[in-house]
Amino acid sequence: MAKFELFFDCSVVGPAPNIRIGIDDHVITEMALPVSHYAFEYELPAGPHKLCIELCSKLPQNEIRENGQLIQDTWVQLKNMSIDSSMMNHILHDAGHVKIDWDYHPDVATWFQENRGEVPVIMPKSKYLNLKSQYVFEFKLPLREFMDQYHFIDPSYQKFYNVPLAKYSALKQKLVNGLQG
Amino acid sequence: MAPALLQAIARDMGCGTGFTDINLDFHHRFETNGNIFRNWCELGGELSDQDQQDLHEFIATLDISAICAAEVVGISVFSKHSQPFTTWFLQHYRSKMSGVVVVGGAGVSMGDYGARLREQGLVDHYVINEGEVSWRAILAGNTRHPGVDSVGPGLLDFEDVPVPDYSNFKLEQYLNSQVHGVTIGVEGSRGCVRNCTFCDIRSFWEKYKYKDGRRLAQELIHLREVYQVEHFFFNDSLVNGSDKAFRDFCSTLAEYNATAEKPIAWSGYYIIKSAITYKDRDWVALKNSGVKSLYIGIESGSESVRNHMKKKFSNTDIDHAMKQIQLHGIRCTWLLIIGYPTETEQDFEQTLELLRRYQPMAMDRTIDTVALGMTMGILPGSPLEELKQELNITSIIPGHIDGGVTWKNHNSDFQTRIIRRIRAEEEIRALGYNSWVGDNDVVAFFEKKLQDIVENRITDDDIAEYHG
Repeated sequence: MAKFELFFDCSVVGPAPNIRIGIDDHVITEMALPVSHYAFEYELPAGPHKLCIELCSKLPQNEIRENGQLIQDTWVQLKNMSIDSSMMNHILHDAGHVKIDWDYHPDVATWFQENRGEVPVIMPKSKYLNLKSQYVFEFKLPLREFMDQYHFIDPSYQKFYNVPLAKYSALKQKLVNGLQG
Repeated sequence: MAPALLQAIARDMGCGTGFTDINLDFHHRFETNGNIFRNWCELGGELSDQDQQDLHEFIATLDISAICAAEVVGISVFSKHSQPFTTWFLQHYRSKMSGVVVVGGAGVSMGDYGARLREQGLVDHYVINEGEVSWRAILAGNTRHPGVDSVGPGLLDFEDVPVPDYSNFKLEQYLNSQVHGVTIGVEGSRGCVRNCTFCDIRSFWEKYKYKDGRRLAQELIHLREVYQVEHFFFNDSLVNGSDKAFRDFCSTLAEYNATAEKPIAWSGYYIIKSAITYKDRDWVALKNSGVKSLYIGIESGSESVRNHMKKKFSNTDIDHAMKQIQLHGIRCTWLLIIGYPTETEQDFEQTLELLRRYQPMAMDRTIDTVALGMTMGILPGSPLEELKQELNITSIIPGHIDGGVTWKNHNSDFQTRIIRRIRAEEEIRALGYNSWVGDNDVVAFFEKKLQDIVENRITDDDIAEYHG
């Protein structure tokens, strides 16, 4: 069983909308905001998977507007996540993206078309959900291999790290033999 | 950073200034020259005729006309490793300098280096310990001021330290800048709130002194805007000596970062405090202040060892702090000491066990790196020096009074400590931590020291200047 813990920031205005949490095509839970922490366990085979967090029932009443200007909004953001006690903080952006339901938000799609020239299929490097949208985090098991993709030392610093262990081995053997001798 | 402070003081006194970092040029030129860079500078070896020629050719590539013409030349000697080149440079080029030559910096205090240079006629004056007041006196022509060519009274009011002046610095050329974006060193305090037995900081600064947290944050904001600094590195022994100042610093920077187009990022040394010291809002402010990486002296997995060190935090305190650090997505480097004089095999095993327990944080890079250092060195001026008799510490070389790294007692000798050091290296690498050695050739250092023992020889490098 893989253990998951999710940590959220959120703000709710009006009737509480739901968030839905799922792994691949399986819905784990659906609950009303606000939520700050949710933990669950799920059996997963090795290989690629998707964790999905969906702000699935946001309504116009979840926004306060004055003269069309947004004053207060309802939103949820995945602040952090751990899988088997390993926090994903440093890779939540890099391995995650947000998909917005453009059919539900045609005015926003129009804004993108007019201002950016195109409507994005996904919003990369985001964990912020304030539209009817879904955050998708793609990972794979074994976790170690997946995380290694995101662990790197800047090339300028490489020489200061991780001296080949072989350099130590001969010295250690010599000393161990000396102590035994 | 010291030259930036000296420059700020000189300008404050109405002097024109210039700055050149020969150390940076030296590093670029000789980094791959093993004999000059490693054997001569670090291990105290000899220069060959070819090395001498290379050094002169190197100087010929520099424009030292301003140094030769200046009324006052201040040379900052960073550490013991800077001494060989400083001596060589002065021996060959002092005669070309028409002004007063002054040396200062941590390297000047080591082995009476400054006094020896003066005796040899290579410098006019030397400054040891804090140089702000003495430097002002020298520039004003008052060379009889306490602190010039003698141990001074130190800086009474830390608020007198000026904002460093980084004009003329080639900031983008420093290695830290290449990795983190334009980076400069800053300081918010001197000294330490602890008196850890292995550390010599109290011999430099008896009392801990610090800047007001809000003022310090404003200083960073000013430097960010003047020099387009992207990342600050704190040279302080610890950034959280004063909890109030630290809270003020973090909250002020967090406020700035909330609306800044380019938020400030910083890194520095941090000490674990009792679990009740910081509230959730403090951790949030720390994260939002732009902290990039914290360097934490964990030292040992054994509470018994840490208690003897007077680190004053428990394993529970470590667990609490690390959980918060992880939750808020802050990276850190753990600094460990292998072979503390009270460290038994069981204590060492507890260190390995701590590393195993924290493996998830190695995987998610909360603990980005572990620095194991060069094994326990007994520093002159550290409390351990006074405890030698109590801890049965003797030199492994008969009759020699200086323990350095080659000391022994009933718990370990140098060979045992090297074996533990290598075992710890193997463990952290297997667990997935990064291992930092800096520009030290650890194995070459160990082999040289072992050879010194065989030949009953103590050399200047028999002091581990740092761990990590």
